[in-house]
Amino acid sequence: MKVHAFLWVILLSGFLYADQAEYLFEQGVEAYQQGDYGRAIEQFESVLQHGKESVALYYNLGNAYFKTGAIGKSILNYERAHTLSPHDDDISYNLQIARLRVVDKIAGPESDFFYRLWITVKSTFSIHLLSIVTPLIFGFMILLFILYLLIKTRLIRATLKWTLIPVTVTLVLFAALFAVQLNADIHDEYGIIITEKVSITSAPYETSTEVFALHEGVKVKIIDRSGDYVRLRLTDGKDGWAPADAVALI
Amino acid sequence: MKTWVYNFILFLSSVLVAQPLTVSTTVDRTELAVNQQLVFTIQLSGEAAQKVGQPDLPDMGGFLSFLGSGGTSQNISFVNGKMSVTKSFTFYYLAVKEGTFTIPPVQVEHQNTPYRSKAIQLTITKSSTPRQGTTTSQSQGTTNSGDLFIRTQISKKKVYQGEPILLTYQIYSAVSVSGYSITKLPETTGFWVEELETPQQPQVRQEVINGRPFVTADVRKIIAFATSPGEKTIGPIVLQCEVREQSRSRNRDIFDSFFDDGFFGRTVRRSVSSNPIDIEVMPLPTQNRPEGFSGAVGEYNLEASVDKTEVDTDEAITLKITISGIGNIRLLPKPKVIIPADFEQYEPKETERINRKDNTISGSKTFEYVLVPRFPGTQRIKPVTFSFFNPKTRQYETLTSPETVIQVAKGQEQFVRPGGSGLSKEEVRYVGRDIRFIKLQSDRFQPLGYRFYNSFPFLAILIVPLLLLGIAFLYKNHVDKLTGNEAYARSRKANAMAMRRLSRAKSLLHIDTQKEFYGEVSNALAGFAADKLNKSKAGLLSDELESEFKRHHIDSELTSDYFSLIRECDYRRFAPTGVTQEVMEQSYKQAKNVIIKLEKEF
Repeated sequence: MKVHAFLWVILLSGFLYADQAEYLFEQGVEAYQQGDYGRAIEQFESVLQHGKESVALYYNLGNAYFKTGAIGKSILNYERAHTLSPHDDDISYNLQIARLRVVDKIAGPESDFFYRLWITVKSTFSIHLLSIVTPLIFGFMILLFILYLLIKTRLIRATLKWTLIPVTVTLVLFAALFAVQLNADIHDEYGIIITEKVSITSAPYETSTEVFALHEGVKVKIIDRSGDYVRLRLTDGKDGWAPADAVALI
Repeated sequence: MKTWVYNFILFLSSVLVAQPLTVSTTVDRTELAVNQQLVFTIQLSGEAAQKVGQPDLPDMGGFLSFLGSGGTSQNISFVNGKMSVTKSFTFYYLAVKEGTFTIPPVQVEHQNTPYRSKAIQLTITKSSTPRQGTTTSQSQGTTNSGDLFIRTQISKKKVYQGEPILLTYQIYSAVSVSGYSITKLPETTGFWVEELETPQQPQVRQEVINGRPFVTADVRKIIAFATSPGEKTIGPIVLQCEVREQSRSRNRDIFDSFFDDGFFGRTVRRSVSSNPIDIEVMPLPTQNRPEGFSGAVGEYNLEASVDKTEVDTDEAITLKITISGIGNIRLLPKPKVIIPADFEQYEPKETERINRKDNTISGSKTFEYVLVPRFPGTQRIKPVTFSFFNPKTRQYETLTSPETVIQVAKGQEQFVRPGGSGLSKEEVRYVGRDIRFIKLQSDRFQPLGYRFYNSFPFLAILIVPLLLLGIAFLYKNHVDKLTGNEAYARSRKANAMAMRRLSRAKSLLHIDTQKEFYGEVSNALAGFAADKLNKSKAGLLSDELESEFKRHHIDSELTSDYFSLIRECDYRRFAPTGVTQEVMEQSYKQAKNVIIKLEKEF
């Protein structure tokens, strides 16, 4: 009986939390519509503090920060929304506009045909899509195999056999892509510069020489950490150390 | 004609399709004598000139020796929104060997395309006059002529590398000299020479040497800077003088007497030469050498200033650094300037002002840096430092300018920056547009950092099919048993089983274990048939077996061999008499043969 009651509490609190997130989100939307972007940011951020996230939440938060001129945080939230939902047109559009406000123009890597193809493949088959589709193909393949085992009719068996081959090949391809994306999702860390200007130094301490400077909104890859410093790499290959609080992880 | 037209078209096209980079080289003269200086200039022009660094100098093949760099100059202009840059590098050389020589083309690479200049033909002649046969034994150079000689005055004979040496060539004459010309300049290998200004009309003074009155004048004054340490020699200077001589003959022709009387005299050309001078050049001390020292010797002052300290972003400011003083101004190195990364900076413009009066080389060199702040805020340009060696105090000195603080205010928003990277076509589409409106409804809220691949459903999608597969296998096995597919499996494994039994029998092939041996052989034979026929071995009677063999159309001879062998085995198993090792081996071979043959029959 006691256990029962305890379960109920957990369930209820779960509902309450979901409800509360919904409520705070609506409050934020209302504030935004009234032009009170500061309060909108507060409301949206409190949803995150409740441990909940959603695509729309990050997108709206990006908008609110954009309106207050905080380009770094705006891009940060658009990027988060973009990772969760890579094919949302609104997110890509606003992200483009926000990126225009970034002062540093950093050249991307040399892009040949195969590189662009790879980028397209990576963005089309996101980790979210792959983590659903790959097990489904796997299940389908097993199902076909089970049928093959059990059915005796020669014609059906032959058909199943010839269907199994392409399905298996597809599965291998998806599994490989999934492995790559999974590895990137777990190990690769990206961040956005959120302070107006940050000096990038050659070593992780204050007295080291400045190599170059970065400004709000630049997307960087985080490749190392040491104390209160993180080591960054830009798309054009430059790297250096920056104080950890100047960079927010996507 | 055709080639002409072709060339013309080529020329036109090269003008119309502006090359990103043109490299050209020039010299101040193409004919010169040994020991004369040559100014060699490399000019880069075109859009890409800004991006390439200093080109490598061509190999001068022993004809010319490098004296020093005269610095770079840069000219940037914007025409129709396009930037054009002309950059030139000046170098000084000394001719050291006579002959005809071609300066090879200078090559500059830009985006993997080489750009070359044209080669230049040089003719280096011998020093204009051969050395005169003057005896040069005295240390401070008087010619033997007695009445006409050159004396060289030198300020110092032991100097530091880069320290100025003043050399004054004075002509002394007890005869009347109407004019002179320098036929050979002193050889100054290993020195950088700057000529001092001398008055157009030589100032003539009177001097008495050894009781004899002489007229003297400065012929030439130079300042020499040694470029490397060691024992060096400055060669002699050779002058050709026009000397008027009084004629002693009274018997003259009327024209002679007209031109050659006491008023005009007779003009004779005489060469005079000075003595070579040895100079000891000491290297600069290594002790206390400052970190940023780059070779300047002399006495200098440093000044650094900016034209404005309050600017808007994208508005240019000029940082002017002036080094002035006494020393080899032309070869002054660039001072070390650290410019914050927030400034866009261009190569500095260098200008020199050189004063050749008062027996010294003095002047100033100015470096003008154009800086364009890109971001608002307080920017600090760290102090500029400049180190030099002062030969008077024999100490290194370091000059430091104060730190410059510049307040940068946010200027008008600018999307396209000159020289900087502009926007891509794709980005231009978004200029001036506002962001899209927020989403009024949220999608499903999920826990922070939720990933489907970490969730239970993901695992379930993977595991459930595997479970189903396991169940399917079990089910199939069950069905197979029911439909007698087990018989097929047994029959397929019969041979392998029999062979395994036989090999076990082989290990028992010994008199002491004959009982066990025959047991195994019999087992192998009986088991083989039982497996093939999917029957129980124990319940298999020989009559039943024989009829089964017949049903499978087994060769009758093989059948009888098989049965006689089984009988023999059973007999020997229970009546172990008269058995030898050979008999056992014989039985083993027979059993094996029968099984191999039977395998083919079934």
